[in-house]
Amino acid sequence: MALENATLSPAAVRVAPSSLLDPAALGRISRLELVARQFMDGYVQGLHRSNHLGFAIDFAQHRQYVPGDDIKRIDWRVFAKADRYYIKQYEVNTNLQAHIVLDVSGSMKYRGVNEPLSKMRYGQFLVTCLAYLALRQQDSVGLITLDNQIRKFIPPRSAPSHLMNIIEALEESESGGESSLAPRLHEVAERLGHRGLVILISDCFEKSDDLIEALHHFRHRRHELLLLQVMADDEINFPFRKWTLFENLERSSHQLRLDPSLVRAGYMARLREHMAAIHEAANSLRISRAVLNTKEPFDQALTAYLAQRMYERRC
Amino acid sequence: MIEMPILLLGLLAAGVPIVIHLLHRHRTTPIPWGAMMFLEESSIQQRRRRTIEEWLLLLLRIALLALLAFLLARPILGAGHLNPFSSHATSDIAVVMDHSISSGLRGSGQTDFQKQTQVLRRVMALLRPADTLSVILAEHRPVSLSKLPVLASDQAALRRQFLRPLSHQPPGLTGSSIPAAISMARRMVNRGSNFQKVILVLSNQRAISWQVDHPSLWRQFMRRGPSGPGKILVYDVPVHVTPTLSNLSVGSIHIQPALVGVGRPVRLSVSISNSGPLPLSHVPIHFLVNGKIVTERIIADLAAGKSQTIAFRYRFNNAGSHWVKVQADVHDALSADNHAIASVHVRRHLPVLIIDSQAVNTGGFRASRFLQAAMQPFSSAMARKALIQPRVVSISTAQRLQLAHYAVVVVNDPVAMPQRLLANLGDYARAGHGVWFILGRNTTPSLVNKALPAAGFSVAGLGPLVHASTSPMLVIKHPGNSIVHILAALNRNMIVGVTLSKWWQLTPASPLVKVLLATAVGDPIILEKSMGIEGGKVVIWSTPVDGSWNDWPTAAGSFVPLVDQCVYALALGGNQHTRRHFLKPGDAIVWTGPVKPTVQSAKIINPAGVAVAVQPQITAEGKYLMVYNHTQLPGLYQAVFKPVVIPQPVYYSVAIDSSALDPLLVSKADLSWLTHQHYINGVIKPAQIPGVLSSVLVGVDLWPWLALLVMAMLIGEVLLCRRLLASPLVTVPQEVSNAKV
Repeated sequence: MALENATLSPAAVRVAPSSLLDPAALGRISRLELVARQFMDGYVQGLHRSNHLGFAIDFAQHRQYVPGDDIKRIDWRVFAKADRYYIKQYEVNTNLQAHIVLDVSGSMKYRGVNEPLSKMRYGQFLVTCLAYLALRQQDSVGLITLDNQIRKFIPPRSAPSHLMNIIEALEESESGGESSLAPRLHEVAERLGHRGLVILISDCFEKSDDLIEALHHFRHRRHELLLLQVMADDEINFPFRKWTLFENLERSSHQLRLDPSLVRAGYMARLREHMAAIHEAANSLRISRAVLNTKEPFDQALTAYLAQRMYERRC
Repeated sequence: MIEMPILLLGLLAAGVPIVIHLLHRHRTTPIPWGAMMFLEESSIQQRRRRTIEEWLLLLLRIALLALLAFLLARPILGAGHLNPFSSHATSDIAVVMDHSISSGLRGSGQTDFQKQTQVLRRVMALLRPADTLSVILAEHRPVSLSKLPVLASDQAALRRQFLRPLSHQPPGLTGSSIPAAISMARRMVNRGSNFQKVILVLSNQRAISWQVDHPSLWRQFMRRGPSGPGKILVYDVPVHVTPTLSNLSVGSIHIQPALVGVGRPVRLSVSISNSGPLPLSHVPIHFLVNGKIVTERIIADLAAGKSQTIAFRYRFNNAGSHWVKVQADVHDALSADNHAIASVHVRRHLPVLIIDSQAVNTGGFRASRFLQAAMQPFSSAMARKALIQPRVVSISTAQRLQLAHYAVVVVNDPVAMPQRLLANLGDYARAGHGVWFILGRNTTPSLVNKALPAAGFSVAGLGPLVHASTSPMLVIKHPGNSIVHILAALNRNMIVGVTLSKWWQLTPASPLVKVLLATAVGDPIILEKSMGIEGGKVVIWSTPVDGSWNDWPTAAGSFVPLVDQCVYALALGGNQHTRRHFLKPGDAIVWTGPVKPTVQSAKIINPAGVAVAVQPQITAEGKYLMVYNHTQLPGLYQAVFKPVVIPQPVYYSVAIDSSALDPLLVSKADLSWLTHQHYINGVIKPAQIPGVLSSVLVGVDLWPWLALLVMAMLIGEVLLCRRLLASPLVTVPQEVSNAKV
């Protein structure tokens, strides 16, 4: 059946969490770990393999096993007692310095026709969850928001209260500026200190060449890079049929009156080309990349992504 | 040329795609959009191409609807030099041939109708195989020689349907209606499937046949005809011979007296006229009774334009129905009018009831003696053979009698009469009989002024009795009336010398009452009035017949014929006799008879020898009534009955419609009017017929080509739509939709 520019029906809308600190979502991801696949420079023991040797390995707590965990870390004694799988966690691992970069340009304001969250809000939830996860692992986490300039720069901290700083910064952040992602990423790459984990949450609506160059910059600075490409389902499938006035979210004066059926093929080809370029660059730069469809609940998408990462790390 | 221009309004539908396009343009949905970079760069080129395709589709749809409307309007590419596809059309041709009595006029060795037949043969020689031909004979009612148009390729059918019947076709005997024949021809050509329709009217141009004096008739016939797809071309083709022969016409036979009795002398006179350009000489005229020549006269000389009356005397020895014929043995321009036929109804007796003023039968009916003697002026031995059979009765006896058994009832010197008898007399008169009141010394004003009007005899008011010191002169007021006609014959008044001393002063009750005889000062002596619609009559004399107030019975000569003619006129029931036995074309044959014996079957044999069964009906008056209306053919009609005890055959003669021989021709103004009204397209000579038929070019009916074009455009529209609709349905690449790293 042909897709139409349907209005949002109440039944079709999933209820979005009113607050970024959504206990349900955080509960669902709390059993996961945000792990780095490369050696990190850290001053605190953590989960992450450190390039610094000689730290003691102290037991910290048990955590329930989730698929993807290394079965070598299962505490079999506990299993014998409780008939459940638990993982031993130690505090002596080196800690992670994570920088979450959130694109707050105008294009992130787009919300799909039948979707409860805009890409921006979706990204904010992702940031919250990832920050929570990192802090819970006693990693330090910071936040950078940018559009055509760097709007917020919150240095990484590992204190649990830092989560509230990040959430507060997220709530204050507003999208709407014209996107200038690549130059700003270069700037961020320059500003970041020792190597760490950089999580870029963006729709990546930037010229692919420029964007890939910026990602190169991060890799050159020996950061591990996670690219969470947030896109609305409409942007992926372009289901419009009727004549439509496309108003540019980044430039208010720019709008196009188009018959979607006429431009869809070209749009899809361009998108496919763009995505293919990013995908290829991510593979070559060993960048962990995921395309998150805002149609999918963010906690499920994030859970699947993190579980995948944990599995790959174990392998 | 557009067959149905009204359907061109459908071209407005061509604007529908534009309207839909404009409506859709305005109904754009605004969407705030982020991924503009893919839209901007994606499809400028494609958009241009698609826009062109869309415009093409729009134009295609507009053209499609416009073409469809154009197609439905049935466009025809007109014939002409600019149209290379135009060609000589096959035609449905109808030939109207004037078969009126005037078409039998002979000249130069052939009649008009024979010359028309020759023209028809020439038309048949011009036909192409796909043409069709119909032949309609214009008579009083048009007759088509074939039920359907005959295909020209079927030569055998053409001969069988047209040429063979026409070669045996006798000359017409009736008038004709050209507009009626054209109307039938229009129906016939419309039954053909050819595009072009042509009607050729072969006529001798008689105005009486063309009926140009009746525009409403033309309108009626032209409206009645169905309209075909093509225009019907109607051409008048005058075809007539030059009159080179004399034309002798035998007029209607005049019978005197109108009421014919057995053995009584009858004078039959007929007018013979010569309407041709040459004189006639030594023309034998035969008189035939019931088909047998009785006598012969010779007309020695009859100049052109002159007429002559010939009279025969004859006595019919048998009662019943007879027919007489006057036949001129001559070879002239028109044979149909060389004879005349008349039917004669001969009566053996004429029973007359005389109601005398005597209350009872005792006495000698003195008052009616002279009347009875006038009716039967013979010796007692001859009385039984007399035509008029009077019976004198008293008033009391008259009440018991069936009045219908008598042809005439005479009420002589009426006194006070029972109302019932008067009512019976009224019914009797209204049923078509005659009642004769003769006022006398016993007449009372109350009877005439009250009792008679109450019974329906509102004839006159009775005034005082007039006593004349000197006898007044009597004046015949209506010399043509059958009662007094014989008295006024040869322009002499046979009443002169009659002495009148007393009479009742009468005042006619209405203008419908005729005063036939009156005194010089205007006092009516004889009055006549019709009664009812069956031809009944009432006559009132204001002076008696017993010789007391006048010397009428004893005066020389005039009394007897006056009484006889009065009885005859009353017995004929007005024009009833003439109406039933001596008819004009189209008049109905009416036969009445007693219900006993029962009529098992009846038929009318027309002059052509065709018998038509007719069923008599029993009327409310207890009589058989038989009516037959199809009497357009002149000649002798016979009514034949079963059982044979019914007096038969009963003859009815229908005269030739002399108006159909009116020599007046249609004028140029008449033809101009017919052309102006588009009833005909022109007048052509027979030599121009090939040109008319061959010059008919036909255009090309464009609808099959347009239909093909519409089909092609529909296919193109479907393909273009499919192309436009198929392109957006690109499968979303797996990499994009489920990208997970």
